[in-house]
Amino acid sequence: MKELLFNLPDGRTLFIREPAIQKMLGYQQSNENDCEAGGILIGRILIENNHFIIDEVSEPYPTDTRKRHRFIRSQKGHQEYFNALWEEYEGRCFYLGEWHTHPEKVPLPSTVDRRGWRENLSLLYETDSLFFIIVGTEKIKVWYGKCGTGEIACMEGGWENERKTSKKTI
Amino acid sequence: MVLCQTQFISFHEAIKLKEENEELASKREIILKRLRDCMPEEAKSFDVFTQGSYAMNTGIKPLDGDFDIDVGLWFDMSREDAGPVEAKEWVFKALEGHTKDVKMKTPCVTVTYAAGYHVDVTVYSATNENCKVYLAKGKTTSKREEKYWDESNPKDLIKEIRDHLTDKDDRRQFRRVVRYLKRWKDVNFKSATGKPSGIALTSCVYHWLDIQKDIDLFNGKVTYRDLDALISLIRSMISRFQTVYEVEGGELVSYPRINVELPVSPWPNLFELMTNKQMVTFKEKLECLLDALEEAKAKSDPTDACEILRKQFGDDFPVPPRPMTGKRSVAPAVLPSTESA
Repeated sequence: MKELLFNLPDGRTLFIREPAIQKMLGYQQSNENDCEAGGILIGRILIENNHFIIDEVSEPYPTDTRKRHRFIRSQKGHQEYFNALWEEYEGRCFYLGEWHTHPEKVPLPSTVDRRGWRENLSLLYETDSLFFIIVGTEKIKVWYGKCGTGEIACMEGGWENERKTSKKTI
Repeated sequence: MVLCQTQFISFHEAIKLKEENEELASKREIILKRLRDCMPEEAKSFDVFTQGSYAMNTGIKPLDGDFDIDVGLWFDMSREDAGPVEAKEWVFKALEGHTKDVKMKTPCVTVTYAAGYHVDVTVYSATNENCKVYLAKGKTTSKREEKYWDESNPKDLIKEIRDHLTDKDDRRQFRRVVRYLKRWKDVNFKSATGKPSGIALTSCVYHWLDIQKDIDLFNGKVTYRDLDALISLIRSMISRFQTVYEVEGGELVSYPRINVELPVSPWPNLFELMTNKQMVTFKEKLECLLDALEEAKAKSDPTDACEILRKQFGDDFPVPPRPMTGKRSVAPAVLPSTESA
């Protein structure tokens, strides 16, 4: 089973469930002419320990711009998708960040990516943290951003290390 | 890593036999009236008291709906005043014909009602020169050596279990863990024989439970961790099994066995009557339980953890829909549009 678990600097964890991972992996830029894709991360902040779980991700809409090296996510489509889930779960879900793909094995954020994340972290949300996922052709990498301070840190782990990370928690 | 404490508490509420169970109290009254009205003249005077897990605050609802009501009769007499089976015959005579099914069993007289519950009436000799209390054992048809007064003081036991642990919240965790384990037994041991008794499991928790809680240093708030309490208890139980050897068909065969003492005099080993084969099964089931508890704890999503726990504890263990384990947000987030490269 493909699940991902990351340890946050403050002792909490981020858990990404399989359905969300499968959806993102469906957009990997494995072929030369595959375009970038992306969407938003939606999930829970657990009542019992404040840990994060990503349950759902949105997928590209026709209103988004998809190029080999660029992805512009419009608000349209993604906002409606989020609102529908929010209704269905009676408010028990949060916007938890963004994901997009890169045509490289081990993804690294571009200047545009970093600038966009910092801007996003300066906005007001009900969560104190946002996550930014880049899906490379061989590795998924996740960055953790603190709302307010705008601090961003790369988190250890990724699907190649799945076994190692999950073992740590036992 | 999850604890599922909310779900453990709901599970406890679902299985707990509440003290104010009116239905059981009225059923008990019916039989007491019968005993008072129909006790034969030769019988000594007696007092009545409630015993069993219900009195110890560790009772759980039965899975099959067959409620078990325990009534103890405290006869004001010494062991020399009457034989054990003689005293049980007084009770049997008083109850005979009350329902179609009244039986004298070795430790009690059992009255079974068609409505699906039964009452076990036990007989005690309560006024002895050594201040000890004895339970009448044996049936009319038993051999002479199987009819005897057996030292057993249920009032001491009830007090010992009821008052176990001084902190009232620690005591609550103790009772919850007893109930979890008893329900686990009912779910996992389907055949009538070979299951550990409720009092044996209660005694294991009494002796070996290591209370698990967190205390918030800032506000003093105490959070109990029942899942951790179960993990440490079951681990401790498994570690207490010892190997015994039996000669079978000329060969030495090894078996695991565990002993646990009743917390009051005469401290009998409550696993004594389990056969070696039953012990093997018991240990395997405990190991299976421990694996499940640890697997559940390692999960990141409480819903996944509860699904594992439900397999061990049965359908009364709740599996929350995933969203219900998350906090509620005030309003849907307003998304920005974003650019990535």
